[in-house]
Amino acid sequence: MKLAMAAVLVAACSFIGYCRVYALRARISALQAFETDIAQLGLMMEYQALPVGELADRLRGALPAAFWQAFRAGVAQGSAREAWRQALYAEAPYGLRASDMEQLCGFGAVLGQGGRAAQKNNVDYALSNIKRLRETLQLEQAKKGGLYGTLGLLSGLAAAILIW
Amino acid sequence: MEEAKAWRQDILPLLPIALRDCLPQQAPEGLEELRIRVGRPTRLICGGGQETLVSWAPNRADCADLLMRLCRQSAYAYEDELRACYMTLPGGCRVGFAGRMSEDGLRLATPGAFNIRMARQVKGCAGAMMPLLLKGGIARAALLISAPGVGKTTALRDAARQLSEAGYAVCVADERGELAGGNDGVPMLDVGPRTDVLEGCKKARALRLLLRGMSPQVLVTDELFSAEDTDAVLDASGCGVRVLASAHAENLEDLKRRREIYALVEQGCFDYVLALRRGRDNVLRHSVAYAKEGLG
Repeated sequence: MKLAMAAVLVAACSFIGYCRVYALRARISALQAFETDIAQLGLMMEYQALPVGELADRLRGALPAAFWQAFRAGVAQGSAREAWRQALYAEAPYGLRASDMEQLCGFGAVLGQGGRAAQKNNVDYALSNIKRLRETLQLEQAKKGGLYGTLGLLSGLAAAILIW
Repeated sequence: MEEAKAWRQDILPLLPIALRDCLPQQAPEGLEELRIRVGRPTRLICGGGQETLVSWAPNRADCADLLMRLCRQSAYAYEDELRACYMTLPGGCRVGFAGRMSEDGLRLATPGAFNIRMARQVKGCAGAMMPLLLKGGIARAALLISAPGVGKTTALRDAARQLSEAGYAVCVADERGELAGGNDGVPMLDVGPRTDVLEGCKKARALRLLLRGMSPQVLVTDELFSAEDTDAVLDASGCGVRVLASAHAENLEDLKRRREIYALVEQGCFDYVLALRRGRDNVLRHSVAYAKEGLG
Protein backbone atom coordinates (compact mmCIF):
# COMPACT_ATOMS: atom_id res chain seq x y z
CA MET A 1 0.00 0.00 0.00
CA LYS A 2 2.75 2.41 1.07
CA LEU A 3 4.72 1.51 -2.02
CA ALA A 4 1.77 2.27 -4.25
CA MET A 5 1.15 5.62 -2.52
CA ALA A 6 4.83 6.55 -2.82
CA ALA A 7 4.79 5.67 -6.51
CA VAL A 8 1.65 7.79 -7.03
CA LEU A 9 3.25 10.75 -5.18
CA VAL A 10 6.44 10.56 -7.22
CA ALA A 11 4.44 10.35 -10.45
CA ALA A 12 2.10 13.22 -9.47
CA CYS A 13 4.89 15.59 -8.40
CA SER A 14 6.95 14.76 -11.50
CA PHE A 15 3.83 15.37 -13.62
CA ILE A 16 3.29 18.81 -12.02
CA GLY A 17 6.95 19.70 -12.65
CA TYR A 18 6.82 18.60 -16.28
CA CYS A 19 3.46 20.38 -16.78
CA ARG A 20 5.14 23.59 -15.76
CA VAL A 21 7.94 22.96 -18.29
CA TYR A 22 5.37 22.13 -20.99
CA ALA A 23 3.32 25.29 -20.24
CA LEU A 24 6.43 27.43 -20.54
CA ARG A 25 7.38 25.77 -23.85
CA ALA A 26 3.81 26.16 -25.20
CA ARG A 27 3.72 29.85 -24.20
CA ILE A 28 7.00 30.48 -26.00
CA SER A 29 5.88 28.68 -29.13
CA ALA A 30 2.53 30.53 -29.15
CA LEU A 31 4.35 33.85 -28.89
CA GLN A 32 6.71 32.76 -31.66
CA ALA A 33 3.73 31.92 -33.88
CA PHE A 34 2.24 35.40 -33.32
CA GLU A 35 5.64 36.97 -33.96
CA THR A 36 5.97 35.14 -37.30
CA ASP A 37 2.43 35.88 -38.46
CA ILE A 38 2.31 39.51 -37.36
CA ALA A 39 5.63 40.13 -39.16
CA GLN A 40 4.24 38.46 -42.29
CA LEU A 41 0.98 40.42 -42.03
CA GLY A 42 3.00 43.64 -41.72
CA LEU A 43 4.96 42.86 -44.88
CA MET A 44 1.79 41.98 -46.77
CA MET A 45 0.18 45.25 -45.66
CA GLU A 46 3.19 47.16 -46.91
CA TYR A 47 3.69 45.44 -50.24
CA GLN A 48 0.29 44.10 -51.24
CA ALA A 49 -1.90 46.83 -49.73
CA LEU A 50 -4.99 44.60 -49.76
CA PRO A 51 -7.72 44.83 -47.13
CA VAL A 52 -6.83 43.05 -43.92
CA GLY A 53 -9.53 40.38 -44.39
CA GLU A 54 -8.08 39.34 -47.75
CA LEU A 55 -4.58 39.28 -46.31
CA ALA A 56 -5.82 36.96 -43.56
CA ASP A 57 -7.14 34.67 -46.29
CA ARG A 58 -3.78 34.57 -48.03
CA LEU A 59 -1.64 34.28 -44.93
CA ARG A 60 -0.12 30.82 -44.46
CA GLY A 61 1.86 31.32 -41.29
CA ALA A 62 2.57 29.67 -37.98
CA LEU A 63 -0.77 30.30 -36.28
CA PRO A 64 -3.56 27.76 -36.79
CA ALA A 65 -5.66 28.38 -39.90
CA ALA A 66 -8.74 28.50 -37.64
CA PHE A 67 -7.40 31.68 -36.04
CA TRP A 68 -7.18 33.54 -39.36
CA GLN A 69 -10.51 32.13 -40.52
CA ALA A 70 -12.16 33.42 -37.35
CA PHE A 71 -10.52 36.80 -37.87
CA ARG A 72 -11.62 36.91 -41.52
CA ALA A 73 -15.19 36.10 -40.56
CA GLY A 74 -15.13 38.76 -37.83
CA VAL A 75 -13.85 41.46 -40.19
CA ALA A 76 -16.70 40.76 -42.59
CA GLN A 77 -19.14 41.47 -39.75
CA GLY A 78 -17.61 44.43 -37.96
CA SER A 79 -14.42 46.17 -36.93
CA ALA A 80 -10.94 44.66 -37.25
CA ARG A 81 -10.33 45.40 -33.54
CA GLU A 82 -13.31 43.31 -32.46
CA ALA A 83 -12.53 40.58 -35.00
CA TRP A 84 -8.95 40.32 -33.71
CA ARG A 85 -10.09 40.17 -30.08
CA GLN A 86 -12.68 37.50 -30.80
CA ALA A 87 -10.27 35.37 -32.85
CA LEU A 88 -7.69 35.72 -30.10
CA TYR A 89 -10.00 34.49 -27.36
CA ALA A 90 -11.54 31.76 -29.50
CA GLU A 91 -8.65 30.35 -31.52
CA ALA A 92 -5.31 31.45 -30.04
CA PRO A 93 -2.86 28.57 -29.53
CA TYR A 94 -2.59 27.01 -26.05
CA GLY A 95 -0.19 28.43 -23.52
CA LEU A 96 -0.84 32.17 -23.50
CA ARG A 97 -1.56 33.94 -20.22
CA ALA A 98 -4.05 36.73 -19.62
CA SER A 99 -1.24 39.32 -19.71
CA ASP A 100 -0.09 37.99 -23.12
CA MET A 101 -3.64 38.16 -24.44
CA GLU A 102 -3.94 41.76 -23.28
CA GLN A 103 -0.73 42.67 -25.03
CA LEU A 104 -1.86 40.96 -28.24
CA CYS A 105 -5.23 42.73 -28.02
CA GLY A 106 -3.27 45.97 -28.11
CA PHE A 107 -2.05 45.08 -31.59
CA GLY A 108 -5.62 44.62 -32.77
CA ALA A 109 -6.77 47.92 -31.27
CA VAL A 110 -5.42 49.96 -34.19
CA LEU A 111 -5.29 47.22 -36.81
CA GLY A 112 -6.51 48.55 -40.16
CA GLN A 113 -6.83 52.14 -38.95
CA GLY A 114 -4.58 54.90 -40.26
CA GLY A 115 -2.19 54.80 -43.17
CA ARG A 116 0.56 52.38 -44.11
CA ALA A 117 3.10 54.18 -41.91
CA ALA A 118 0.78 53.89 -38.89
CA GLN A 119 0.29 50.18 -39.56
CA LYS A 120 4.03 49.65 -39.86
CA ASN A 121 4.55 51.37 -36.49
CA ASN A 122 1.84 49.21 -34.95
CA VAL A 123 3.43 46.03 -36.32
CA ASP A 124 6.93 47.08 -35.21
CA TYR A 125 5.69 47.97 -31.73
CA ALA A 126 3.83 44.68 -31.31
CA LEU A 127 6.79 42.68 -32.62
CA SER A 128 9.26 44.37 -30.29
CA ASN A 129 7.00 43.66 -27.29
CA ILE A 130 6.45 40.03 -28.24
CA LYS A 131 10.14 39.52 -28.97
CA ARG A 132 11.14 40.97 -25.60
CA LEU A 133 8.68 38.74 -23.77
CA ARG A 134 9.68 35.65 -25.76
CA GLU A 135 13.36 36.23 -25.11
CA THR A 136 12.72 36.61 -21.37
CA LEU A 137 10.75 33.36 -21.36
CA GLN A 138 13.40 31.55 -23.39
CA LEU A 139 16.01 32.68 -20.88
CA GLU A 140 13.80 31.39 -18.08
CA GLN A 141 13.34 28.13 -19.97
CA ALA A 142 17.10 27.72 -20.43
CA LYS A 143 17.76 28.47 -16.77
CA LYS A 144 14.85 26.78 -15.06
CA GLY A 145 13.36 24.42 -17.64
CA GLY A 146 15.31 21.40 -16.35
CA LEU A 147 14.95 22.60 -12.79
CA TYR A 148 11.12 22.41 -12.78
CA GLY A 149 11.21 18.79 -13.96
CA THR A 150 13.91 17.79 -11.49
CA LEU A 151 12.19 19.66 -8.63
CA GLY A 152 8.97 17.85 -9.36
CA LEU A 153 10.70 14.48 -9.30
CA LEU A 154 12.71 15.30 -6.13
CA SER A 155 9.71 16.65 -4.23
CA GLY A 156 7.84 13.49 -5.20
CA LEU A 157 10.68 11.38 -3.89
CA ALA A 158 10.86 13.46 -0.66
CA ALA A 159 7.13 13.07 -0.07
CA ALA A 160 7.43 9.31 -0.70
CA ILE A 161 10.26 9.02 1.85
CA LEU A 162 8.24 11.02 4.38
CA ILE A 163 5.20 8.73 4.18
CA TRP A 164 7.29 5.55 4.05
CA MET B 1 -30.52 42.69 -63.15
CA GLU B 2 -26.89 43.72 -62.77
CA GLU B 3 -27.92 46.72 -60.68
CA ALA B 4 -29.84 44.41 -58.38
CA LYS B 5 -26.78 42.18 -58.06
CA ALA B 6 -24.47 45.13 -57.38
CA TRP B 7 -26.90 46.44 -54.76
CA ARG B 8 -27.14 43.08 -53.02
CA GLN B 9 -23.49 42.03 -53.26
CA ASP B 10 -21.42 45.20 -53.41
CA ILE B 11 -23.38 47.88 -51.57
CA LEU B 12 -25.65 46.41 -48.87
CA PRO B 13 -23.00 44.28 -47.09
CA LEU B 14 -20.80 47.36 -46.65
CA LEU B 15 -23.45 49.51 -45.01
CA PRO B 16 -24.09 49.71 -41.25
CA ILE B 17 -26.85 47.37 -40.07
CA ALA B 18 -29.05 50.29 -38.96
CA LEU B 19 -29.02 51.70 -42.49
CA ARG B 20 -29.36 48.29 -44.11
CA ASP B 21 -32.56 47.73 -42.12
CA CYS B 22 -34.07 50.93 -43.51
CA LEU B 23 -33.21 50.21 -47.14
CA PRO B 24 -35.10 47.98 -49.56
CA GLN B 25 -33.48 44.58 -50.17
CA GLN B 26 -33.95 45.04 -53.92
CA ALA B 27 -32.42 48.03 -55.66
CA PRO B 28 -35.14 50.57 -56.53
CA GLU B 29 -35.60 50.79 -60.27
CA GLY B 30 -33.21 53.22 -61.93
CA LEU B 31 -31.23 53.80 -58.72
CA GLU B 32 -28.25 56.02 -59.45
CA GLU B 33 -27.00 57.38 -56.15
CA LEU B 34 -27.20 56.86 -52.42
CA ARG B 35 -26.44 60.10 -50.57
CA ILE B 36 -25.50 59.94 -46.90
CA ARG B 37 -24.89 63.11 -44.90
CA VAL B 38 -24.18 63.57 -41.21
CA GLY B 39 -27.34 64.57 -39.31
CA ARG B 40 -29.56 64.32 -42.38
CA PRO B 41 -31.84 61.59 -43.70
CA THR B 42 -30.28 59.33 -46.31
CA ARG B 43 -31.47 59.86 -49.87
CA LEU B 44 -31.88 57.38 -52.69
CA ILE B 45 -31.70 59.14 -56.02
CA CYS B 46 -33.13 57.45 -59.09
CA GLY B 47 -33.03 58.39 -62.77
CA GLY B 48 -34.67 61.70 -63.57
CA GLY B 49 -33.80 63.13 -60.16
CA GLN B 50 -36.48 61.19 -58.29
CA GLU B 51 -35.60 61.13 -54.57
CA THR B 52 -36.64 58.77 -51.80
CA LEU B 53 -35.86 59.69 -48.19
CA VAL B 54 -34.75 57.06 -45.71
CA SER B 55 -35.13 57.76 -42.01
CA TRP B 56 -31.54 56.83 -41.06
CA ALA B 57 -29.61 60.02 -40.29
CA PRO B 58 -26.04 59.18 -39.28
CA ASN B 59 -24.03 60.93 -36.58
CA ARG B 60 -20.27 61.51 -36.81
CA ALA B 61 -19.42 58.12 -35.33
CA ASP B 62 -21.73 56.41 -37.86
CA CYS B 63 -19.94 58.23 -40.67
CA ALA B 64 -16.51 57.18 -39.35
CA ASP B 65 -17.80 53.60 -39.07
CA LEU B 66 -19.21 53.73 -42.60
CA LEU B 67 -15.87 54.97 -43.94
CA MET B 68 -14.05 52.05 -42.29
CA ARG B 69 -16.66 49.64 -43.67
CA LEU B 70 -16.20 51.02 -47.18
CA CYS B 71 -12.43 50.59 -46.70
CA ARG B 72 -13.15 47.03 -45.53
CA GLN B 73 -11.59 47.90 -42.15
CA SER B 74 -8.30 48.68 -43.87
CA ALA B 75 -7.65 52.40 -44.23
CA TYR B 76 -4.01 51.68 -45.16
CA ALA B 77 -5.14 49.84 -48.31
CA TYR B 78 -7.10 52.90 -49.49
CA GLU B 79 -4.64 55.61 -48.50
CA ASP B 80 -4.49 57.19 -51.97
CA GLU B 81 -8.26 57.01 -52.35
CA LEU B 82 -8.84 58.65 -48.96
CA ARG B 83 -6.47 61.40 -50.03
CA ALA B 84 -8.43 61.88 -53.24
CA CYS B 85 -11.80 61.67 -51.38
CA TYR B 86 -12.89 59.05 -53.85
CA MET B 87 -12.90 55.29 -54.09
CA THR B 88 -14.23 52.55 -56.31
CA LEU B 89 -15.84 49.51 -54.73
CA PRO B 90 -15.33 46.03 -56.13
CA GLY B 91 -17.78 45.81 -59.00
CA GLY B 92 -17.24 49.41 -60.08
CA CYS B 93 -19.60 51.37 -57.78
CA ARG B 94 -18.03 54.72 -56.97
CA VAL B 95 -17.99 56.51 -53.64
CA GLY B 96 -17.18 60.19 -53.20
CA PHE B 97 -16.50 61.62 -49.73
CA ALA B 98 -16.72 65.05 -48.19
CA GLY B 99 -16.07 66.26 -44.67
CA ARG B 100 -13.04 67.78 -42.99
CA MET B 101 -9.57 67.18 -44.38
CA SER B 102 -6.52 66.89 -42.10
CA GLU B 103 -4.55 70.07 -41.46
CA ASP B 104 -1.99 69.21 -44.13
CA GLY B 105 -4.91 68.68 -46.53
CA LEU B 106 -3.60 65.24 -47.41
CA ARG B 107 -6.26 62.96 -46.00
CA LEU B 108 -9.88 62.92 -44.97
CA ALA B 109 -9.84 63.41 -41.19
CA THR B 110 -13.60 63.46 -40.46
CA PRO B 111 -16.03 62.11 -43.04
CA GLY B 112 -19.32 63.98 -43.17
CA ALA B 113 -20.94 63.03 -46.48
CA PHE B 114 -20.89 60.11 -48.90
CA ASN B 115 -22.13 59.80 -52.44
CA ILE B 116 -22.35 56.15 -53.46
CA ARG B 117 -22.90 55.94 -57.21
CA MET B 118 -24.13 52.71 -58.74
CA ALA B 119 -22.03 51.18 -61.50
CA ARG B 120 -24.37 50.77 -64.41
CA GLN B 121 -23.75 48.67 -67.42
CA VAL B 122 -26.29 49.69 -70.00
CA LYS B 123 -25.46 47.49 -72.95
CA GLY B 124 -26.30 49.21 -76.19
CA CYS B 125 -26.45 52.73 -74.74
CA ALA B 126 -23.65 53.78 -77.10
CA GLY B 127 -25.35 52.10 -80.06
CA ALA B 128 -26.55 55.37 -81.58
CA MET B 129 -23.04 56.81 -81.67
CA MET B 130 -21.38 53.69 -83.13
CA PRO B 131 -22.03 54.69 -86.78
CA LEU B 132 -19.93 57.78 -86.06
CA LEU B 133 -17.25 55.92 -84.10
CA LEU B 134 -16.90 53.44 -86.98
CA LYS B 135 -17.50 55.87 -89.83
CA GLY B 136 -15.99 54.73 -93.13
CA GLY B 137 -15.32 51.30 -91.65
CA ILE B 138 -12.51 52.47 -89.39
CA ALA B 139 -12.45 53.35 -85.71
CA ARG B 140 -12.66 57.08 -85.06
CA ALA B 141 -11.25 59.11 -82.19
CA ALA B 142 -13.91 60.83 -80.12
CA LEU B 143 -14.29 62.95 -77.03
CA LEU B 144 -17.54 62.52 -75.10
CA ILE B 145 -18.58 65.55 -73.11
CA SER B 146 -21.38 66.19 -70.66
CA ALA B 147 -22.12 67.62 -67.25
CA PRO B 148 -21.39 65.27 -64.31
CA GLY B 149 -23.81 62.40 -63.78
CA VAL B 150 -25.20 62.20 -67.33
CA GLY B 151 -23.54 58.89 -68.20
CA LYS B 152 -20.18 59.50 -69.88
CA THR B 153 -18.57 56.54 -68.15
CA THR B 154 -21.48 54.24 -69.00
CA ALA B 155 -21.35 55.35 -72.65
CA LEU B 156 -17.55 54.98 -72.83
CA ARG B 157 -17.75 51.47 -71.37
CA ASP B 158 -20.35 50.43 -73.93
CA ALA B 159 -18.48 52.05 -76.82
CA ALA B 160 -15.30 50.21 -75.74
CA ARG B 161 -17.24 46.94 -75.64
CA GLN B 162 -18.76 47.50 -79.09
CA LEU B 163 -15.42 48.50 -80.66
CA SER B 164 -13.86 45.44 -79.12
CA GLU B 165 -16.64 43.24 -80.50
CA ALA B 166 -16.13 44.88 -83.90
CA GLY B 167 -12.61 43.43 -83.91
CA TYR B 168 -10.46 46.26 -82.57
CA ALA B 169 -7.76 45.78 -79.96
CA VAL B 170 -9.03 48.09 -77.24
CA CYS B 171 -7.03 49.12 -74.18
CA VAL B 172 -8.67 50.86 -71.23
CA ALA B 173 -6.66 53.15 -68.96
CA ASP B 174 -8.87 52.85 -65.90
CA GLU B 175 -7.28 55.00 -63.20
CA ARG B 176 -10.08 54.58 -60.66
CA GLY B 177 -11.37 51.17 -61.73
CA GLU B 178 -14.75 52.62 -62.66
CA LEU B 179 -14.80 51.89 -66.40
CA ALA B 180 -14.22 48.16 -66.15
CA GLY B 181 -15.27 47.77 -62.51
CA GLY B 182 -11.98 46.01 -61.85
CA ASN B 183 -11.60 43.73 -58.86
CA ASP B 184 -7.89 43.20 -58.26
CA GLY B 185 -7.15 43.70 -61.97
CA VAL B 186 -10.00 41.58 -63.31
CA PRO B 187 -12.82 43.51 -65.09
CA MET B 188 -16.18 42.80 -63.49
CA LEU B 189 -18.12 44.68 -66.18
CA ASP B 190 -18.26 43.65 -69.83
CA VAL B 191 -15.75 45.75 -71.76
CA GLY B 192 -15.47 43.40 -74.72
CA PRO B 193 -13.55 40.31 -75.77
CA ARG B 194 -10.50 42.11 -77.17
CA THR B 195 -10.12 44.63 -74.36
CA ASP B 196 -7.19 44.92 -71.95
CA VAL B 197 -7.53 47.00 -68.82
CA LEU B 198 -4.83 48.71 -66.78
CA GLU B 199 -6.27 49.99 -63.52
CA GLY B 200 -5.01 51.70 -60.41
CA CYS B 201 -2.44 53.80 -62.27
CA LYS B 202 -2.52 57.50 -63.20
CA LYS B 203 -4.22 57.70 -66.58
CA ALA B 204 -1.36 59.57 -68.29
CA ARG B 205 1.09 56.85 -67.25
CA ALA B 206 -1.43 54.09 -68.00
CA LEU B 207 -1.98 55.44 -71.53
CA ARG B 208 1.76 55.42 -72.20
CA LEU B 209 2.28 51.96 -70.69
CA LEU B 210 -0.59 50.50 -72.71
CA LEU B 211 0.66 52.19 -75.85
CA ARG B 212 4.11 50.66 -75.44
CA GLY B 213 3.16 47.28 -74.14
CA MET B 214 -0.21 46.21 -75.51
CA SER B 215 -0.26 47.45 -79.15
CA PRO B 216 -3.74 48.97 -78.93
CA GLN B 217 -5.77 50.18 -81.89
CA VAL B 218 -8.10 52.12 -79.64
CA LEU B 219 -7.25 53.62 -76.25
CA VAL B 220 -10.10 54.43 -73.91
CA THR B 221 -9.92 56.65 -70.84
CA ASP B 222 -12.34 58.55 -68.65
CA GLU B 223 -12.37 62.18 -67.48
CA LEU B 224 -9.41 63.99 -69.02
CA PHE B 225 -8.42 66.59 -66.47
CA SER B 226 -4.80 67.63 -66.20
CA ALA B 227 -2.18 68.79 -68.66
CA GLU B 228 -0.45 65.47 -68.05
CA ASP B 229 -3.52 63.62 -69.33
CA THR B 230 -3.80 65.76 -72.45
CA ASP B 231 -0.07 65.29 -73.20
CA ALA B 232 -0.51 61.52 -73.02
CA VAL B 233 -3.53 61.70 -75.39
CA LEU B 234 -1.50 63.84 -77.78
CA ASP B 235 1.32 61.26 -77.72
CA ALA B 236 -1.10 58.41 -78.38
CA SER B 237 -2.79 60.23 -81.28
CA GLY B 238 0.63 60.89 -82.77
CA CYS B 239 1.28 57.13 -82.76
CA GLY B 240 -1.72 56.30 -84.90
CA VAL B 241 -3.89 55.08 -82.06
CA ARG B 242 -7.53 56.25 -81.84
CA VAL B 243 -8.39 57.73 -78.49
CA LEU B 244 -11.85 57.53 -77.02
CA ALA B 245 -12.08 59.78 -73.97
CA SER B 246 -14.47 61.83 -71.91
CA ALA B 247 -14.36 65.20 -70.19
CA HIS B 248 -16.64 67.34 -68.08
CA ALA B 249 -18.22 70.09 -70.23
CA GLU B 250 -21.85 70.60 -71.08
CA ASN B 251 -21.23 71.82 -74.62
CA LEU B 252 -18.47 73.00 -76.97
CA GLU B 253 -18.53 76.50 -75.47
CA ASP B 254 -17.78 75.02 -72.04
CA LEU B 255 -15.04 72.88 -73.56
CA LYS B 256 -13.39 75.92 -75.11
CA ARG B 257 -12.89 77.26 -71.59
CA ARG B 258 -10.94 74.12 -70.73
CA ARG B 259 -8.03 75.21 -72.85
CA GLU B 260 -5.77 72.19 -72.52
CA ILE B 261 -8.51 69.78 -73.51
CA TYR B 262 -9.84 71.97 -76.28
CA ALA B 263 -6.28 72.24 -77.63
CA LEU B 264 -6.48 68.50 -78.34
CA VAL B 265 -9.55 69.15 -80.52
CA GLU B 266 -7.75 71.98 -82.30
CA GLN B 267 -4.74 69.77 -82.92
CA GLY B 268 -6.93 67.14 -84.56
CA CYS B 269 -6.63 64.43 -81.90
CA PHE B 270 -10.37 63.79 -82.07
CA ASP B 271 -12.53 63.17 -85.12
CA TYR B 272 -15.64 63.96 -83.14
CA VAL B 273 -16.72 65.74 -80.00
CA LEU B 274 -20.03 64.27 -78.91
CA ALA B 275 -22.15 66.10 -76.35
CA LEU B 276 -24.22 63.73 -74.22
CA ARG B 277 -27.48 64.49 -72.48
CA ARG B 278 -30.39 62.62 -70.99
CA GLY B 279 -33.72 62.85 -72.73
CA ARG B 280 -36.99 63.26 -70.82
CA ASP B 281 -37.36 59.49 -71.03
CA ASN B 282 -33.98 59.29 -69.20
CA VAL B 283 -32.37 57.74 -72.30
CA LEU B 284 -28.84 58.83 -73.18
CA ARG B 285 -28.67 60.87 -76.38
CA HIS B 286 -25.82 62.54 -78.19
CA SER B 287 -25.30 65.41 -80.55
CA VAL B 288 -22.23 66.12 -82.66
CA ALA B 289 -20.64 69.23 -81.16
CA TYR B 290 -17.64 69.06 -83.45
CA ALA B 291 -16.61 66.93 -86.41
CA LYS B 292 -13.31 67.00 -88.23
CA GLU B 293 -13.46 68.32 -91.77
CA GLY B 294 -14.83 65.74 -94.14
CA LEU B 295 -16.56 63.77 -91.41
CA GLY B 296 -19.45 66.12 -90.73
